[in-house]
Amino acid sequence: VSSVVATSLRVLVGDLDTDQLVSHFRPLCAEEEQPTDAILYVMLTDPYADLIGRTAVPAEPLRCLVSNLPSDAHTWSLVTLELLLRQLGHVVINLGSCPPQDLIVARCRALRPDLVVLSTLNGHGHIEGPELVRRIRLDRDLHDLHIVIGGKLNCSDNAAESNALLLSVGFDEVFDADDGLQPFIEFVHELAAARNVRPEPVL
Amino acid sequence: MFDRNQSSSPANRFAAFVKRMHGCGRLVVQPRMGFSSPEMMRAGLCATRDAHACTVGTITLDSFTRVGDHGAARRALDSGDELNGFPLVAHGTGTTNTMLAGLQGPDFPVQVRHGTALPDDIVAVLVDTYVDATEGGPVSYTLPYGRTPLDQAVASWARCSHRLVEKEGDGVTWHIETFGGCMLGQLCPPELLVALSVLEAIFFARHGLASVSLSYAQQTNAEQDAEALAALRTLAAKHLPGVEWHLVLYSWMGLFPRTAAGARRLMQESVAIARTARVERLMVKTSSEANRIPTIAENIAALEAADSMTRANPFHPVSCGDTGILDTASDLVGDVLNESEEIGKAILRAFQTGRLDVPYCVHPDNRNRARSYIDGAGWLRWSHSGAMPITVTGRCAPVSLTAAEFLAMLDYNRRRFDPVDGESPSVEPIVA
Repeated sequence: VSSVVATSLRVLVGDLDTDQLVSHFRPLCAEEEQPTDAILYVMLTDPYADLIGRTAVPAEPLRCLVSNLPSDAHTWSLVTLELLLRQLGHVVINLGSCPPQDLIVARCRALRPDLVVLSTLNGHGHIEGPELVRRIRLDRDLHDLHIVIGGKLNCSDNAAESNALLLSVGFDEVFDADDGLQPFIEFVHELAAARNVRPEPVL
Repeated sequence: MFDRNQSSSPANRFAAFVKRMHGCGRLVVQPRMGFSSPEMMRAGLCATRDAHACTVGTITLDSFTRVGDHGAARRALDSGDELNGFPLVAHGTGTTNTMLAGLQGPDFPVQVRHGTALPDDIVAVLVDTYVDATEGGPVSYTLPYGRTPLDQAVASWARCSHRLVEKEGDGVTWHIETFGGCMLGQLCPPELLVALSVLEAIFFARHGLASVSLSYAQQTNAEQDAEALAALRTLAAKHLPGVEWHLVLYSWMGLFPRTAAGARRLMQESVAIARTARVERLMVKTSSEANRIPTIAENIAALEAADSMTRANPFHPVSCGDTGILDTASDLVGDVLNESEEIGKAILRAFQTGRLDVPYCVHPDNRNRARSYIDGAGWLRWSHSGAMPITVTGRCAPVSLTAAEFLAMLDYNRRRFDPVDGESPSVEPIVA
């Protein structure tokens, strides 16, 4: 199961590789009994059900803020992450694409989420990510907020330099193309598990 | 190189070139190219012009410019950070015209592409450049790309349309392409794509533009796409009297095949749909799209490959029937036009009441009640149509999707076109 997850779900990095998921799909309705427009490919088994199962009903759901960066219009990864986090049993507010920096910071202050998930694909993450996270960390009330970023973070093929930069400026985790979604799911799982021992956010 | 040396007297250079090439039986192919430096941008345009293909040029703007953050674009230029397109406003009219000097003309028109909900800054620079074609629309550049309120976008696009029309004269007329047929790029069923494309074209026509094109983006089934384009042509003819118009097909905008063979199969299907539907212009993607912004050479290779496919004989047309796309799209358009005499108001009311509702679109002004799915034959279907005048027919429409099911839909065309282990694709493409 984990190898499927590792290679198949690259939402945060914008490169989906679901070839291996195909074997988990079949037409829901047999052709002989339904017109073709009624045939939907559905999952027989969710290939990462085991991984999700561990956190499917968290004692206390995480309140997650999903967002893109100010200049990035991609939304499919945001919709997918919202579906995934809900499946994991958490609560999601989706800010959508191109949220102004002020709006992200304002929502962080107003909502005090447990986790901020930034997903970006337009290659400007290495420019906009640091600006945003520095600003959030400067806010005394938000300095210990969990903030992660993933996606296509620069305009070149080499992600290592940008990833190191983003970690150094204050992101808790940077999710890379080659690692798939498994590290993200595990990160969320650990965060949910550790939540009880963390100081409660001031509401 | 393609012979461009027979100019007519065009109303608009861009539209006239496309029309002339269509008359010669040629499909115009166009890249989606944009670079931050004027030198690279010029080199890209020169290469496009000199390609062995029937081409028009593209200047795609970067995403800082798209959201109006020209300061960030300027800082990136100053510090040598690479942007994902040409920052038109930061460069300004002078630099842009120097970049374009001697390149553009009746035989090589250039279009500026941006994706901006509030294009006032861009249009202010554009009107003084040598360019005379752009694209977008109040709905199609707003709902998918951010949080700008739809009423502000409608007002801005009306202002910008007037500004372009005011600048006409001295042999300059403007062309705008609607992006409405490309909403979100995927998972928006064709009835709604066609309706939005037509509505935005009507918007531009009513604001004085005499030359428009109507877009449609390739989805997941060639027969469905061919039928949609036929519907688009019928509705454009009905709703755009006295306006010069043509159709533009976008090659699949979602996750691109990872292999060169997959990309080629996809492009073959795009070309087959375009030829079947007698589309005048085709937006081409490259085999490297899946990984990064394509180089100039990759763009040119893709344009030349597409061009040679357009001339391939024998030509196997896509079969095209009538499953009701025209009727439904026509109902959608009619419903919106009944909302108000004023097209901008009519569109706003339609989104407020849910008579227009784009599936999976998280923009605050979209109801986001409608849902779609890909059926077993690759047809894009409605599972929920919200308050739109659309009958949902699929009996196995999903109630709710898991993340993995959703990913599989986003990945559908990849699986359809990419070979598995060097063999044929896991799902047979319709056009071999």
